[in-house]
Amino acid sequence: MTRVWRRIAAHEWRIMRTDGLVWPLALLLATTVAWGLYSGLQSRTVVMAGITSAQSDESQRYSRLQEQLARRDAAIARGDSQIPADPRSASTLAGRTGSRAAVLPPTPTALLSVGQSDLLPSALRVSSEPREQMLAAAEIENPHRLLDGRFDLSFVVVYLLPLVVITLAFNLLAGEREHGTLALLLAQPVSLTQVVSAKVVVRFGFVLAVSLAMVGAGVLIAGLGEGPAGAGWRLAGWTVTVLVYVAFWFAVSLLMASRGWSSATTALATAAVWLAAVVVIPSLTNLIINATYPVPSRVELVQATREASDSASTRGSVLLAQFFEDHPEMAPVVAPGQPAAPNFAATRVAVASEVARMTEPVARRYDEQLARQQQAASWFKFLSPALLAREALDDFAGTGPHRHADFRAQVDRFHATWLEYFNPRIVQRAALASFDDVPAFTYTEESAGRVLGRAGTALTALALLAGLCGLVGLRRLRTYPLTHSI
Amino acid sequence: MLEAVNLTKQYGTHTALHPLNLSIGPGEVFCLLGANGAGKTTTINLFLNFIQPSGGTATIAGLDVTTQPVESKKHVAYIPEQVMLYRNLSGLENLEYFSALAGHDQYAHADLLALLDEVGLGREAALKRVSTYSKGMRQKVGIAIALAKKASALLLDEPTSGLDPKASNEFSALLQKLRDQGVAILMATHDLFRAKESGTRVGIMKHGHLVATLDTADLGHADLERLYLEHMHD
Repeated sequence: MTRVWRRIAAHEWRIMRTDGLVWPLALLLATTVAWGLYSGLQSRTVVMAGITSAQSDESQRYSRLQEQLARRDAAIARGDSQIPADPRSASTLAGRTGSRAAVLPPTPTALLSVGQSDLLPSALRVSSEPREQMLAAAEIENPHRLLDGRFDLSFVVVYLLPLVVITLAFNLLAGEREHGTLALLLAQPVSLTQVVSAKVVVRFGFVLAVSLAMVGAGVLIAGLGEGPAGAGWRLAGWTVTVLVYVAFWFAVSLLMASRGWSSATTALATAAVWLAAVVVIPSLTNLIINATYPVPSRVELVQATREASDSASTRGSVLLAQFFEDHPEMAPVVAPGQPAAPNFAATRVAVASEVARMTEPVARRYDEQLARQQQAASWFKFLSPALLAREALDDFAGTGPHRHADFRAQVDRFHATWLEYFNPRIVQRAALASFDDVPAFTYTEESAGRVLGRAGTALTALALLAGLCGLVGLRRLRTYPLTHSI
Repeated sequence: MLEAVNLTKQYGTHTALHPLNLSIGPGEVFCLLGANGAGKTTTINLFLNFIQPSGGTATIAGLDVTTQPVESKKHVAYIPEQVMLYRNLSGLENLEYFSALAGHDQYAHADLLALLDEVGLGREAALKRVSTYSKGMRQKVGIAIALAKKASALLLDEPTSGLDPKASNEFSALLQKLRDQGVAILMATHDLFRAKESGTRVGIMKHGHLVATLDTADLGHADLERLYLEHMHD
């Protein structure tokens, strides 16, 4: 940064201030950022309320169970003839009564993006009930719906910041050329690259200063919540994403300005790029993904579950016999010649296992189709800088699909552990020693490395795009037509 | 100071400037005469590196303007036909900015105001926004910008257009002063009278050719006009 460069930058800032456009623009930017943050804060509050209600529901159920146990203990102590059933029995606790809340706590940066947190549940009830019932709401969101979601900070960054950049940068050079000051400017010992870079840096600084100051103030006021750790790197990653995305749009503006078109043409061309990158490509992507991998029918899954459960129920006793053949260790010890006492709980376990077995292929097809859709989306995002930015922003905010998928996988594993723990105990009509023995779910936060690896890929692609546009733009400046005279 | 060697400019098949050879030494004022489109402005734009030559070289103070575009501009000042300035700044602020870019940070406001006064722009006008200026006032600021640069070469493209006769006359006096200081001046003009008055040499351009070069000392005003018209005849 030479003395001349600083002089040009200072002059540019002065011109911008006296121009009168920059203050309304700053106000608009600040207002939309504040509104986006407010929206994020609201969403975080809703998510937290859902989590709190799931948790208090669980603790209320358990305190009722404690009361029942106390009454039972009292009855035993008094030597009553009627002793209430043991609330610690495995078959009681494995069902709804003992179900545990599996909770995905919002990250400290959740208010920076609503992402999918308003679509995907952050609290699930895990019991012996089939997985499908539990995950009914969990469905992949397609990229387009991701993009035109609600007016949150990600929306402001992805949609509106580029428009602010275009407004500031469409007449980077054409304005001065058309007005005539460029000739006098370049008659001085300065290069066009110096002039343009100073102009870009001043505008870049302005956009970042206004938006990041607002975000900083918003975060300070709203607080980062009591979510899991990682506020530092998440905030840093989010900020870098905004920086790179804004840089991309300045690079595009530079590329368009270097063509030597009039201000009006430059503005139109840049707006066309915006329309393609932010609206058209994400919509087309969505269309292609849906045509290639149609959304699997949930009705089919529900139907299959229903049929399986009907068929399994009618075959209850047969299934139970088969179940004991498969699991001889659980088979009741019966004196020879004596009929076994009917074990309804065991039948239920056998039926549920059969239903799970029968619906497994349909459920797997469903999951696989979703996975293919997600896979396609993860490739198509490279077509649009808006999709790339959105992905990185949501990932750093912890409201994107990846963190939720990780949560779902953990819940699935927990559900399997639950069945493994309870099924033998139900069959054996066992009771737990204490309520504390009921397995509990704790979400293990994704490592920073994993999130950075994922968002880093999107970010790197975005940075490469920005670099490419910027370099081509700077090269083109060498042949920038300063005059049209013949 | 200013030198063109086989300098040419072509736009597609149209040749805007046929090989031009020209050398203007310190203290010389070379006036380019010719109709619109004769190649005068093209020549000046080539010296400023605003357009790329199709052939030949243009040098300022021995520096090739295409290979050393920034360095060469330290030695040359330029006054366009239409001086356009930053509208929201005053004449003084414009002068200050352009002088700073030219490497002259040392000027105090008083110096710059004195300079503006010298070219005929009073203090009151100098502090007003340029958006309130007439074309002539802007032209005066342009002259001040060129003077403040203290360059050894000066490129002028119809510099007196928009100036009233008095200001135009004052400008001639300024040119005389610069000539005495050893500045090399290339001026494109339509004004035969001014060319005879201020120029040491005149060149007549037609369809991109420099068709004649004359010493002004050798001819009277009437001779110049006759010659010019003769050349303008097709």
